[in-house]
Amino acid sequence: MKTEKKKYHLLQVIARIIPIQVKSAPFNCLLENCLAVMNGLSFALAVVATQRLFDAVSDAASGKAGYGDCVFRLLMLAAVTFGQQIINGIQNFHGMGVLLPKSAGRLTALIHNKIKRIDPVKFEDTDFLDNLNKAKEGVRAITMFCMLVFACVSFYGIYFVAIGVYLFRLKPMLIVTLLLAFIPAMLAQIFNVRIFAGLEEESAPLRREYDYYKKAICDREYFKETRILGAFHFFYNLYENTLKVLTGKVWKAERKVALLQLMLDFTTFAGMAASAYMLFTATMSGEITAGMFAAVFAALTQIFAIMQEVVKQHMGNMNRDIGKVVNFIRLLDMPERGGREGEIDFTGGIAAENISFRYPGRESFSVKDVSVNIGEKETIAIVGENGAGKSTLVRLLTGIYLPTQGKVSIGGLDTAEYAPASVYKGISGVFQKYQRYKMTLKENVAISDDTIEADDDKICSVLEEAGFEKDRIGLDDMLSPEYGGIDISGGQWQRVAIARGLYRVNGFIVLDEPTSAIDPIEETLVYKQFARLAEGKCALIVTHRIGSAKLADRIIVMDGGRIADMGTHDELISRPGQYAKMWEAQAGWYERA
Amino acid sequence: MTLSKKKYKSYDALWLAFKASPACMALYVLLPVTQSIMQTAVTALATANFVDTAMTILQSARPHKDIYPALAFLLITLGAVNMIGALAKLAASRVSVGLWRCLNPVVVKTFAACDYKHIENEKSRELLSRVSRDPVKSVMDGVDAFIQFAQIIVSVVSVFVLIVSQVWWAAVIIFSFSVPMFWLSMRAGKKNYQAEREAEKFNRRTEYLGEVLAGRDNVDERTLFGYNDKINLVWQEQYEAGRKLQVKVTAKNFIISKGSSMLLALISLLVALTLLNPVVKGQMSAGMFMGIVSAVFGMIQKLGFQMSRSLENISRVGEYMKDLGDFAALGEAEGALEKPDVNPIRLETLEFCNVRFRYPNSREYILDGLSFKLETGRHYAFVGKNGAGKTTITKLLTGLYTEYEGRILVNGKELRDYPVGAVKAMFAVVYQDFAKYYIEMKDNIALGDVHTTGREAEAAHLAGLDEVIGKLENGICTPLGKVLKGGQDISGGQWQRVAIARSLVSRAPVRILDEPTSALDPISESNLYHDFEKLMRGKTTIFISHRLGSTKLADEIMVIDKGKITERGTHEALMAKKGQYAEMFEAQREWYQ
Repeated sequence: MKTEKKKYHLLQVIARIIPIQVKSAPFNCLLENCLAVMNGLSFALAVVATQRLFDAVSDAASGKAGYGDCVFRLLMLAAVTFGQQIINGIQNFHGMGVLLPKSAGRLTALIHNKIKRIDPVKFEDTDFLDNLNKAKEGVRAITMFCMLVFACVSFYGIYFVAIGVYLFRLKPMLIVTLLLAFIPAMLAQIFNVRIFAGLEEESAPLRREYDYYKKAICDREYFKETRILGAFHFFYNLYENTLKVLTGKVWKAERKVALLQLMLDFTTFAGMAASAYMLFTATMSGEITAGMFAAVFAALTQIFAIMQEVVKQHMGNMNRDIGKVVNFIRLLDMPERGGREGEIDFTGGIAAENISFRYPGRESFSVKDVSVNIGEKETIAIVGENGAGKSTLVRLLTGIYLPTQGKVSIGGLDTAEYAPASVYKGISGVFQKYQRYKMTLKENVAISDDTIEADDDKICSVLEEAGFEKDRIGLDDMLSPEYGGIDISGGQWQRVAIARGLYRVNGFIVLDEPTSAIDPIEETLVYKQFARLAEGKCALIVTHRIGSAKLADRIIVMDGGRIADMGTHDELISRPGQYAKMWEAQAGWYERA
Repeated sequence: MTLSKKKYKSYDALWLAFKASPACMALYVLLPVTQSIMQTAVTALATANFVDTAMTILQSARPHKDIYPALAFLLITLGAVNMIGALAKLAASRVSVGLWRCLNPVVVKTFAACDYKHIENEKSRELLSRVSRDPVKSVMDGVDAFIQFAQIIVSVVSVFVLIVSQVWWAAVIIFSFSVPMFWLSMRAGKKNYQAEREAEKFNRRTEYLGEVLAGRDNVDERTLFGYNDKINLVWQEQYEAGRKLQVKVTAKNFIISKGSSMLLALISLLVALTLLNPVVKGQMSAGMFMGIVSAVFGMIQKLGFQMSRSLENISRVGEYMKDLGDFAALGEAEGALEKPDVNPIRLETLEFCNVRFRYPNSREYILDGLSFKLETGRHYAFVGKNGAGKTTITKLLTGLYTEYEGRILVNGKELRDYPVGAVKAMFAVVYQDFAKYYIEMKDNIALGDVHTTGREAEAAHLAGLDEVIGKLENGICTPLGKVLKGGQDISGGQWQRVAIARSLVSRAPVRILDEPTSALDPISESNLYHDFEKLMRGKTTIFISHRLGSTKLADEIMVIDKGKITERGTHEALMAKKGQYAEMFEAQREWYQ
């Protein structure tokens, strides 16, 4: 699915993001702006104080002023400088140390909240995952972006206005200085972006190759095989060759940039020289004093540097980060799943009518024209080859995915019409990729149902039912060595997952068999657990080992997204078809003459 | 370039950079230092010269045209200050490219040659990845920091020299006050890493919880169990706790960095105060005063910030260089980069005699008195529970670990006495976690025998890849994965076939297949077993699996438990024994009756 990528313009983005930012930390945003205004003013004030000191000093040198005058003005300058340092320090600290992390936290929580309401099928869409990742990584960029917007207005704006007023009062013509500072900075920004964008485009595939060859030699997943095969030289040659080409390209671009920079620096210099010349003529004609000249001349470097900072660095960063901000906005703008509230009643069972499903971005249907009913307290097993659509069908029948065509109703609720929370109430599951939460044992179990108060007795009883051996493990033990807890075996984890599925109050349970290698004894235990879990309620068991399907009341055989066959084990085995073929394929290995 | 086994210090970064590109490195040091002198002392001189000349002219003591040399001097200084930066940057990028070309390959080579035990040891693994992540950036950051620091020193010294040349006693006063303050501000630049680590703990936790809230793997559980809100609350709590700790750290750092700025401001005030008197008394010109005061006050902002940052980066590169020394000292596995011998030996027998082995840093023996004897041309199956030590056997055989007790004899000769190349040529292994090389399928297969090519198509055919190849755009020459241009993804099962094809081109006398069916569905698994019979006829093979159906292929079965052979024999013999094997086999067979 090609998501329509709406274009966002800079001003639009700013208008959209500032309110979000302000809402995330209103007081801090206000404070940040106040500090910026004070900071901007203090910079301008320092120029004035320097000028007044220099005037006094040149007067003193020619005997027109006393020592006391000079000291007083020097102390004024010192006061301004200290004040400036303090304000600047507080502002930097507040911006980077307080506002940024605070907002990042709130904005990330906002993302988490949004994810809750997004259609889970999006997680199969690489475009979306990409976007989500970028949005998450870009959270800091958003606040940085807003801080830059703030700074451009309240710090740089104030600074340039104040300096402009000061220069204007010295001599109206001097205000041209600001323009002279602006032009080279702007040019630099425009050219720099172009060169680097070009380099990035050209070198990105090379860089990927280069990184990969290193990976093929050094990464853990490759290391032993590359060594034993003696493939080191093969990859090392590729690595060296790409390295040469890549660095050659980088060097060429750097050279170009340096040359350009030199030219731009020259323009900057020309601008400064022109400003200095204006100052010079004003001094020589007596319009400004030599003290003013020295003070403004000293400030010139600063004016030009700050202008470069705004235009080249900050505007550049804003341009660079706007993509991340847009990702964030795009995520917030994504459609959400909603619907009516309703009460679920499993006596009605689960019914799917002619459902088809296609993953976003894919051409073909993963599930096609499937109709199935799970009656009250009926257990159904789904079997089929990899990619036959088993897991997708399970997600449809639990309402996690909505069918592209057709209708699924769970306990009388149409999954497309009712709110997800209403539908899921009463559904539980043990998934193929069950999670090993790095949390305490208790949390690992109770995470499946937060509507009931975590009750130790209930947790203990489900753990016991799942066959968890909790001899030496307490409920509050952390199940992760990484967080100072303990490590438990894969088999134990599987049982925690079963306990988790059991803990959630349910009338319908989904049991998806793990594919990871577990040993035969363990495997058998898991099947037996599954069978017990399914007793007395609607249940779906997905299995890769045909043998375990026998336990179910009925078996669905999936092939290429369709139901190839359906019936009891005895029915299916007695007719030639996919099921019998699969059965034979596996059973054959256990028949020994 | 080579890495020597010595203790690397932070300044070795300079040495590495110098070796990579001597001329450019010299320029890279000289240019910024020159720039610093120009920016401070020379600018001060030029300003002084200009202001003093202007003042005398304004007092009509000198003719008007005398001002032009002074103006020219001022403008040239300004020009030089502006233009040197770009040249220095160019020199820096040349140094960086040079480092990239000679340091990175060395790091990769050293990494590739390191003893395998370091790859499986978490601590040294972390060291390896820290060092190899981006050596050029780490070194260059250090070089930059040293140069920045040099700039600070040069700026300060040059201004100081200027003052000495004007009024030596003022310089003495300034010196005696400034040195302790300067020293203090440098001391303050050292950071407190302890608190940072503390905050890091919370960050890791929030990172994990963020994964739970937004990750792809647990989307099913997250959706169905609906724990978003609850976990999001925990996330926010943890985030805030970490943030508050971090604020303290940041505040401290800011106070430190601002503290040194304030000290510098204080020094500047002191300089101005001391120099005021000579100006009033006529010992120093007003212009010189302005020049020096501008230079000194101009340094405050930059230096305070630069100093703490450069010191921080110097200590960071110190850590990196220490890592680099440890990295170089890790030790090379003998013959690690060698290719397998062109002509493998003929295998008669392979024998384990009471082999005991434990992984470094582990107290338990994973192999504990393992003995067995394999003969040429037969098929062996190794079965046993997870963690019984099956995979460890392959690691010893292929020479990845050599520190075992007991003896492994190949044709009666100890394995460790064979040259590395001969050992590599002995075994063709399809690992449980086989490598998926993202290169052309043809190359992928050809890597099985690095000495000859041309048999890829045949091996692919035997491994059942014909259908896949037919669907690929460029047939067997299509790159796999998404690294190379035009690369295509294939399924897990298809990758497994590629790995099998790779082992087929190998001319090694022994083939080891470690859980080769883990990624396959029942039918593919069954097909593979059938093919296997065909492919391996007459070859010595070791088949490791807990899918016990596969033991049908074996002439002899070894049951491994707790690092020993507990049972061995034919299927019939073991079934008759009613031991562990029989139990496991029954557990699986049960499903197919």
